[in-house]
Amino acid sequence: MRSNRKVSKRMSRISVHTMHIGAVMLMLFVMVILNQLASSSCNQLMKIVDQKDKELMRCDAELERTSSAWDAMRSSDNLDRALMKFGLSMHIPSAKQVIHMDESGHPLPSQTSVALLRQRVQGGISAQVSTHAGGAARRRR
Amino acid sequence: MRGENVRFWLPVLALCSFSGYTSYKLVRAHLAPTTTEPRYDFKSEVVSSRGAIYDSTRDPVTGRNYPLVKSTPCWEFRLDPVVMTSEVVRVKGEKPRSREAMARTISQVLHLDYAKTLAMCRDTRSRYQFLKVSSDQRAHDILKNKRYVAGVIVQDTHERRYFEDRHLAHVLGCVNKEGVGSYGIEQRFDKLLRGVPGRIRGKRDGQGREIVEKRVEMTPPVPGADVYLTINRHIQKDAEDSLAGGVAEFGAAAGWCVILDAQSGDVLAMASYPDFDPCEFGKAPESAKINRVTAFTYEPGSVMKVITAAAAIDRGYVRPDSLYSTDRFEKGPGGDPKYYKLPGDGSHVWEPRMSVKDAIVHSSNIVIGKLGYELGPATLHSYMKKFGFGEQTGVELPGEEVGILRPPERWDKATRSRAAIGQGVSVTAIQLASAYQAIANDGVRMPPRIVAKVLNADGEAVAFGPPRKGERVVSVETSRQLREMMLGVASPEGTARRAALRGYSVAGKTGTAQKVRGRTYAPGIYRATFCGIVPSGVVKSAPQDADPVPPRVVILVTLDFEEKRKFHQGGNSAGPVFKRIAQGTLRRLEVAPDRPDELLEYDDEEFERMMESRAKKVAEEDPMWGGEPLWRMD
Repeated sequence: MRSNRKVSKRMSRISVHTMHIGAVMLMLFVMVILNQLASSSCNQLMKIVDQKDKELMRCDAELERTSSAWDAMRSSDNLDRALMKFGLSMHIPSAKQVIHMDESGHPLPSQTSVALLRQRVQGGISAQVSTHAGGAARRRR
Repeated sequence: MRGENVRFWLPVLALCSFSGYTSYKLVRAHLAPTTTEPRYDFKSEVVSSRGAIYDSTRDPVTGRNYPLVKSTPCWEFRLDPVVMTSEVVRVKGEKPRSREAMARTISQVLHLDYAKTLAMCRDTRSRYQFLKVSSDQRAHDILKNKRYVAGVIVQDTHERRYFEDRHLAHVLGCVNKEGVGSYGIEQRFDKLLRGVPGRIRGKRDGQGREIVEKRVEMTPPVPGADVYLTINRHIQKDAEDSLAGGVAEFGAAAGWCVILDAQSGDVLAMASYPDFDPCEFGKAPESAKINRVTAFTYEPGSVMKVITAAAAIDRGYVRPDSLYSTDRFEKGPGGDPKYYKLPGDGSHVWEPRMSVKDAIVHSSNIVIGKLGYELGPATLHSYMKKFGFGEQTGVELPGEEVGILRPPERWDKATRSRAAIGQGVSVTAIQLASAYQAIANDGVRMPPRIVAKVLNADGEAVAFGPPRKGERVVSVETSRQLREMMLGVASPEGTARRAALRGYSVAGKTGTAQKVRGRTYAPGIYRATFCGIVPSGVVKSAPQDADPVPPRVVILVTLDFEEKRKFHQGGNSAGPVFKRIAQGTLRRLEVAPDRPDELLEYDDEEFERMMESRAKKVAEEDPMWGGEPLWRMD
């Protein structure tokens, strides 16, 4: 009887331990699984990010190439060539053709175009000249 | 008891380890199958893109500056003929592509010569032969497709593009094959332009490819900083075209010009002819590679007379109307041959006395030489130093020359008078232009600069040099008097009638310096210079105006002759080139004319005729001074 009691006591102790161990093992297993799942999804995401990075770099490079081509087209010599190709002759307007105005719309002093207009508007008043000057400039442009 | 525990825990631990390891391997094998086991560490450097160089003009639409140089991503195509036939993808029902067919495709797509490409394809002894660098996406797509072509290796790279071709080549410089700046701004700002390369660390597979999941470090590259120049590309082109035209027209061997902002000292244009193609720097002759504005020194000749006059007037030694004897052999007190070895003034020394102003207008060697002699070496030397001669101006270009300005103790009697007229001293064009900028800017010299700012990838300004500080050289009154004196130079009475501009007053000075051959001056071979300030800043555009139109630009033009030419004087050769450049520059900068009446009265041809007739009139009145001033020692 005594020995049976002893055994059952030991057995019960073992079964308690086994349960604990089982729980720990299960926890470990679950943790490993979770860790692996997380790691795997991280890797997947990393691949996607890398792919997107490459795509972004490709797009950036494409943008750079396109803007470079655009800049090359606008270089001084290429603009000249393009104008010649279409038989266009462009030059900077002479001082007679340009009227510089301040923010309020009045012509700035010391301008050939204004002096020319003054000559034309005989006996003109400066206020009138300024109005004419502004209109003329707009028409010319 | 202890034995029982061991018997119990040992299998439990073994079981735990086994189950853990197995589950780990199982899950890993199932969920994240890797291609191969990493065997080696992976290290890679990510090349940073080199910064761009911009000019000062802005695109009206985007508000951004125009790029002059930019690095563009592209591909380098190389050929490995050994694997051409073995690696080509065979399509069922089709014959495998031959070397000839592939060579045809390559030559068509990359615009190469077919015969040469075929020869390369057949030459199986040499592998990795260079084909071309291209940014053509279509070429990339076709040549990467092994169904069409095999054996073509495509590598990502960057190409340095110089949008303005040969224009501004001396300023921008170039990069060598390793991507290192080796000339001009590319060299001077190489460290900033280059940026910091990125770094990748991790593991690689058996084929040497990176295993992305094993990446442990990735430092992205820092792009190079962008350099913003003070150059205006339109003015630059006009200046270069006019200069090249002038060199051809007057038969010069070389020519150079520089345009400075009269107030800030900013370089608006800098041209040196002959020039070179920055993409083929190695093939250019050495003489073409020299930036003659900063890296070349020469005797300036009469343009230095203004500096002597500035020193004398600023010291209060003379006034513009002070009279001087024009006797070349005049002796000093006690019979001392004071004005030792002065070159003659040609036939326009007809009057026994001449004012300092007239001496500038007619470029009298005798009067200015005497003035320099009387001022003494110490004074003249100190003013030359203050004007920036004998030291670097600090413009942000490599290889800037200092020039030769000996200390006053070493000036002999000849140097005293000769330095005053621009002989015995050696200067760079940028030094000369900077000295004239001081006169234009009411006596304050701003060190010239060609770089406005440097911005890093985040758009923050990067410090690249000491802060600029203006230095007063002469008084406001002196500079105004000098400009008034110089007004007469570009007039029918002066030495540079052909430099006169319609609608604008020009304060300038000519210089015709004899070139040295061996130990003596070569007869008849000259360097012709004209340096002018436009507008002069002493002429009011209308009587009711309170102030004259302020000076806007300083332009220096020099033509270098190797042979005797008919028009070798500063006024007759460099003057017209100055005029063409100034006309374009003033239009581009929209500078209001300070003599608008001239614009109303005459057109360009009429203005030329008017100047000629006025010169003839002067000749009739004063036969010794007028007429065609070819014989003048200007």
